Amino acid sequence: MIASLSPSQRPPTQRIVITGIGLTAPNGNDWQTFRKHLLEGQSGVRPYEIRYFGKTLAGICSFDTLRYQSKKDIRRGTRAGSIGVYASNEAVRHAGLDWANTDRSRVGVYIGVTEHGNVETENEIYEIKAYDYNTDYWSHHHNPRTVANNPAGEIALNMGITGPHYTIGAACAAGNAGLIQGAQMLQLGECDVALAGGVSESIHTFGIFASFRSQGALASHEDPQRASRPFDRDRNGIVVAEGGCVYVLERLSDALARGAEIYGELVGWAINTDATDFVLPNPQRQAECVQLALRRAGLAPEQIDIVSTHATGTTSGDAQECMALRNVFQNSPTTHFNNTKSFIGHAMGAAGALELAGNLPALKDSLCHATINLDNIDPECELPRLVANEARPMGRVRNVLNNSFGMLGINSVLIVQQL
Amino acid sequence: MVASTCRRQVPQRFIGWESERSAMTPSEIREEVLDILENIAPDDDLGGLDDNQPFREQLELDSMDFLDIVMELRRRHRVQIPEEDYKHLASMASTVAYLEPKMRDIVKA
Repeated sequence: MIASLSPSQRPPTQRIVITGIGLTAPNGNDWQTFRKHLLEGQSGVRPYEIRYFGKTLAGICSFDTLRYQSKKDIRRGTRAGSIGVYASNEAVRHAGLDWANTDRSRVGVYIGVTEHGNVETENEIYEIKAYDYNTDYWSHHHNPRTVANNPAGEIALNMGITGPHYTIGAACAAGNAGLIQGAQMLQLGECDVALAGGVSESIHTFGIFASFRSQGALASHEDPQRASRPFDRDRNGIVVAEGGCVYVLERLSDALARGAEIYGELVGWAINTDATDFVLPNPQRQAECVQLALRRAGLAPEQIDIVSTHATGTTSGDAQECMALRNVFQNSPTTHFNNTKSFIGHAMGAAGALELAGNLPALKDSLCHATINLDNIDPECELPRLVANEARPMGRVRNVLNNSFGMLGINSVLIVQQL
Repeated sequence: MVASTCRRQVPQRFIGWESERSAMTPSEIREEVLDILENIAPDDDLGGLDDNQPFREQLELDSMDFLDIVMELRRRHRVQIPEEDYKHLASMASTVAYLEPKMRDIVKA
């Protein structure tokens, strides 16, 4: 299917486009504000404190939780669910879908998650500690809150969607993986509208902070907004963030038929696996993943205008990704590179989806937002045309390539093209 | 310890009732159930609750919510409510009537 034909040769029923975007990020609760703050260099990282772990830093979202949910919905569900519900409703509204007359049995929900259930499990254990760990006091809400499909299921419940819903567990590659799953399901005819993307509630589990710190991969800095600093010589790890980004995806034929505004076409994607280590990335496999996505899109490296890097601010990971990117793009005179985690931290399951959303407006405004907090480039992270600290005007931006990688060696790459 | 934690979770107005060795009165039990309901149904107005009408006819409650009532009573007062007795939690009046002897038993324990 997608591998055999270049985008323009595919029938419109096999071409997948973005017609709506809803999001909450640590520095913006809608697409326009998020983009504005990325162009202005405004970080969303703040001081944060969590039980057992203590004081740290995080990317924290401030969306209006009651815009689409009741207090009871919020009490009943999870933070990941609330984030998903907010982003999905915003996306549908943004897409201009006639939701009241949309056949909800033909809507699919495909939400990427890095992890799910840790927050609720930690909460329950904390609660029953007060009862000498007597499990008679363990909440009946635990199972519906921790089942892996919870965030997608809460979206479906909230919006009356009766088509398929599930999450895609793909570590920190999950945001791209959710989008890819949605696009594939549209191509297969499993749904007519896909709500696809990723969510993260990870800042509410102390375990993720503690584990990164034990791994020597948790960022610290006296100025919170300077803590997330991919590619910088003095980077010292990840700033964990929460957030969510959900896209309305449709087949091009359907989008054109209803006169929808189209924000880009998903022209190529790839997911592969390192199969070499639990945590350490493999630049060769990453490069292969990028090359596979390019082949499927029918594009050469020099046709990619912006590469949205995955880099998280860890010593090893950033250098490895740059090695992979130099391998693929060494002869490209046009490709620019940036990084969104430097603004918002690492939004885990939402990262890939949010970072793509941060870059998509470039297809229209031809501006490439920067990677901030880059004071002294690490020689191992040298990239040609790395857009450092200030947004840069470009010529026409036709293609954006979005990297998103995760633990257990999962790599995902997604290419979006101006239509 | 469990007991001290239970006391800690009891609303302030009930602090000291154990030491005074006086059982909770029906109106105090009602107030306690109301406090639990406010948490379980935060969007509902409980001001006009009719004690003799079923909760379900007046509030947006489902089976998980009734389990919340059971769990909260267990957590706050160590009241055990077997499944076959859930039917007694249908209305405020039946709930208070059902809980009264159980609350008294706890105080005397």
